[in-house]
Amino acid sequence: MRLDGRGLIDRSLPLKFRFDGREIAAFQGDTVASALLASGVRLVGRSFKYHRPRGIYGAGSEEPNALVSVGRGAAREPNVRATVQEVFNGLEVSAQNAWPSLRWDMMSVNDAVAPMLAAGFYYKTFMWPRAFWERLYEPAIRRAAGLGALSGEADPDRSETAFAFCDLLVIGGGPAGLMAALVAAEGGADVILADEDSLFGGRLLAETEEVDGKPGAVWAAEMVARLSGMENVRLMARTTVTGAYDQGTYGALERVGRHRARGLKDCFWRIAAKRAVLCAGALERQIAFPGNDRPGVMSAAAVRAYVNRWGVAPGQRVAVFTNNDSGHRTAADLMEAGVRVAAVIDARDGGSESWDVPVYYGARVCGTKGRRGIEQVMVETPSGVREVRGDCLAVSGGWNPSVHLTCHLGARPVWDEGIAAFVPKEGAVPGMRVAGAAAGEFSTAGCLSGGAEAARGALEDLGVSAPSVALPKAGDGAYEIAPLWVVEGKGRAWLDLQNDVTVKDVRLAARENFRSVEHMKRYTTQGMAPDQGKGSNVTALAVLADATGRGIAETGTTTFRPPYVPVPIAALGAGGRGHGFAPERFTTSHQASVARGAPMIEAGLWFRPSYFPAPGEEIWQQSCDREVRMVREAVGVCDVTTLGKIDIQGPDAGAFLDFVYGNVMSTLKPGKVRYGIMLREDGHVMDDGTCACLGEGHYLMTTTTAAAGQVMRHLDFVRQVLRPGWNVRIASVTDQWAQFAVAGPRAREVLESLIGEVDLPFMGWAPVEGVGGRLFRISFSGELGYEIAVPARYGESLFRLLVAQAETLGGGAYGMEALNVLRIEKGFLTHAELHGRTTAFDLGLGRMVSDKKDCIGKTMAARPGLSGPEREQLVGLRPMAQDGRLLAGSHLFAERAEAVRKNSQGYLTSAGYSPTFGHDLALGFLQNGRARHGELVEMVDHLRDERTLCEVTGPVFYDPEGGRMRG
Amino acid sequence: MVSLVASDPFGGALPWREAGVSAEAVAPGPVTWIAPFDGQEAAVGTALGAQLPEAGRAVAVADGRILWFGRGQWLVIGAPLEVDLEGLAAVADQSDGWVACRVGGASHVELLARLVPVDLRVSAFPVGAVARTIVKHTSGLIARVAEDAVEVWVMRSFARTLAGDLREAADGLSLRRG
Repeated sequence: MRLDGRGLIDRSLPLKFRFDGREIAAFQGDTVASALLASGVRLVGRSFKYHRPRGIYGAGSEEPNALVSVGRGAAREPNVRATVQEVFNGLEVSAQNAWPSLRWDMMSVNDAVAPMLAAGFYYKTFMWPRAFWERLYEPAIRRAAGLGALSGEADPDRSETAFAFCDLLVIGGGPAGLMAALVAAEGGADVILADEDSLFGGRLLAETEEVDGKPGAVWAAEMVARLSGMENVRLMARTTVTGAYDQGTYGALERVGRHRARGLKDCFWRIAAKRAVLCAGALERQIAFPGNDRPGVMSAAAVRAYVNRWGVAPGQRVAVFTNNDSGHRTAADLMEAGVRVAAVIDARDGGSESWDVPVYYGARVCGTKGRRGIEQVMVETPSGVREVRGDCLAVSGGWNPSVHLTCHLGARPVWDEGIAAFVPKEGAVPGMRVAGAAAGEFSTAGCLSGGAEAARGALEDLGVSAPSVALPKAGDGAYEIAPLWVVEGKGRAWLDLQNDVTVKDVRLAARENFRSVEHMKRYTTQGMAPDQGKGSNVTALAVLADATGRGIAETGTTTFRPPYVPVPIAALGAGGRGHGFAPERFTTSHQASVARGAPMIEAGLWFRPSYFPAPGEEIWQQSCDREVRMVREAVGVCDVTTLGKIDIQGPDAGAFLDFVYGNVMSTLKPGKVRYGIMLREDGHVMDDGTCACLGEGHYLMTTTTAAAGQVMRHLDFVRQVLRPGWNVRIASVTDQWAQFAVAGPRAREVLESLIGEVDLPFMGWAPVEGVGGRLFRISFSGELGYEIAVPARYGESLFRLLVAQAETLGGGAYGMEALNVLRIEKGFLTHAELHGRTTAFDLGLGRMVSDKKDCIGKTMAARPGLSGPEREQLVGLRPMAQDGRLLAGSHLFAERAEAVRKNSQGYLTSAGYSPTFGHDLALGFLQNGRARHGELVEMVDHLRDERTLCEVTGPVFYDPEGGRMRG
Repeated sequence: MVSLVASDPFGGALPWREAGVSAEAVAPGPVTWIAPFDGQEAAVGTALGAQLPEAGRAVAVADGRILWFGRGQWLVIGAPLEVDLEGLAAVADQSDGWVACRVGGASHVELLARLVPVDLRVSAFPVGAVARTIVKHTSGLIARVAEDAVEVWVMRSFARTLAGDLREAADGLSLRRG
């Protein structure tokens, strides 16, 4: 029911939204919860485990009950708190965890068998038979339990991530936070003030008290106006600081556009703050009494918020149950608003306040009645049990300071007997102060002065002199509480409404010796899931403390970890969907290759052409075979830009190369190129490639595409850490050059048509005049081969010319598939063979680790077991039958040996059909393989169910003498 | 040598204007990487006619500028290196290795806050400031060249990724503003 003349809603802007298909009227400024209450909707969801009817309990992000799904279709989002979701025209909201409908939920049968479903039930019952768990029990339990469900489709909404920086981050915009922000800003500090609400003001928006002689909400609005006019202040509304991390970094979730029909959904911020003040306020806790989960049982502070901020009466006849003065405030505000108060039930003894309504001191609520919501309250008074009629019961069990963020770096909060609550530990998060209710200071005057004081402290740390800012006048009432956690009685008394955990469950945990609060949490699930037990933790551990005969301080709390509120993965990972997952590196020939219809495949971050389909070719194998023949018989062009290129210079460059390569590189003369291998510290091969001497003390190292980053990092490490005294400098020049392999018997003709006469010996290089390019005579195909490098801006142009020239000579472009077949035929290595577990010995390159000098990995490579006949050594494999298939990844077994793991003698690393030989070829590793050339072994592929008898050969199938390459 | 045509590393994705931000390719002229050998920093500075800027800074020279580029490394930008640094520094041409996009306009800091974990507000990152950092997933360099503009440098093969990331962040700004 809406109350006239109250609240901060804009009655000139009526809105409409739908809840389970029913149209609900609202005003600008309403949340789904306030609008539902205004429309008399009390039942909003079914509970997690027992499918109990549940209503709205609170008014903030800690809401345990009123979880709803928002949106429809692919954009539907589950578990949105109705108390946080602002209403806009066209909003679609639906209830969760109920079938076929919220009112008639079939699964509420769970509630009837509740005595069987106590904590630990699943653990005890579904242990046997074991296989049934995955196939039967778990799917059935999951269907019955749980909250809302995702749509299962890709999220069409967009979110983003961002960074922010400030001198002072003020977390929470209530009286303490507003005051802290003002003092710091007046002092000249760069301030971010973040609050999770759409409006700043905190509890001032929900109370009737005055600040500085004005209504609290008016004072807050004036403060916001003042702060937003200051250049050094950034106000972040709808922003929940979710975590405190090392070195003043905070995570924050901003609900950017969730209050609108369109636009960005969320932004996940990482805020780097020199100092922070936590003014997160406090959360009202409940009292566990029988039947306390019925719709209509609410937090007393939330009832005030609905009355004062949203102008909504949560009920027609409200009873109040309290153990502190908060309940009296609620009763007073309700009466002032014209809502009937049925009774005030105060658990404390001896009060004598005279009210116009019945007030029972020393009394407790011992039960509730009602079908889908509360209708009657049973009150146990010193003079007997009375029944109070009411449709809403406002409960206050006291306040818990929001200490969560102070615990994120491992600190535990401290029990304060005076307010019967945990308060933050001093210095819990370096650079963070705590002020206001979060620090256990519950009076408004105390919050204002505490916030100002914390800001002054932060300014002092920052070396800024504090300004003089007058403190506004405000109420300074005392907080009188007599702790009351549980009311004993018939029926279930609920602690954790979100996870359906009762007082009995916690006592059962203690009886079964789950006495540690962490064990109790896991056994009962108390404090898990979206609300993380914000309303129930302290009460639950008070019950545990009682059941185990310990004090609350001794029992302690569970660990509060980030995030403070649920953070959608879509916000955390924003920007990472689709192509945003990883950066993409493109060669200069990319567009030309795509234009030729080449499918592009990923090679690390790079994209490379797989093959270039010619007219009439239907499958990749046809294109690949043609491209291989083209290179063997005419000429092919391939972009090899992706190989890493590292420029190495300095007086100690030669020594540096000798140290990182296994073989000697320092003897290389200008104009020459040499192949080298590099070992890791542990003696296994890291990478291979060529190295060119560009001049005295000046080298160009080439790495494989896959290991370019790893090698650069390795070289930096060697230079900075292992050999800091050496005078050598390195730079990655991979992107400076576009480089193309031109290979085949007619390669020289192609090049000469473009750059003039080519007269270069094998493993030599020479400058290319005109564009400052370089020509290397190296080969990865076994044919006469060159690689031409030009400044990258000319890459595309050169690629087009090279391919056009090659085509006139019966050649053309070739892709990765053909490149791979060519190198397998020639027995050249890639990271299929250099896979990190092979040594130079295994690869047949043992002699490349020079015995004339030291190098990284040399000592470790000499360990026993890293060489010898027991090692699996590189071999070639050829099928005995022409059509025998060789498959990479399959294993090798002695002929007629059983194909089981312990009999495996090796495996295939690279395999493919060779158009040159007319059958499959493979490279692989075989125990003592070099001594077994000519033997027959059986290849067994257990995955593809293929067996092939093959002959062991040397790894070089094609032109083993190398005449074609050198000629 | 046949004549070759230079291509656009950004593949036509620049320039654009959106959400109070403009993005355009920079034509910086020659870019030379230099890394002075041990004890030669002062001599290199003398040869170049300006002291090499300290970490995180840039300095203007006669026909160009010098950017700090990492530990013991600088980029000389704007003119070919006329002086001979033989024996004084390692030198490598990076004119085609690195590309730059100028990101300017009233909201350029707001946009880059979506991609770069460095405080780029003028108060913290004034004209002449340089940072080696990441741009979304990509390693890069940011240089403030005006009160309302910075240059974002990445390796050439990442140019299209940079252009796409900038554009997506701008789309986000537009969406945020509704």
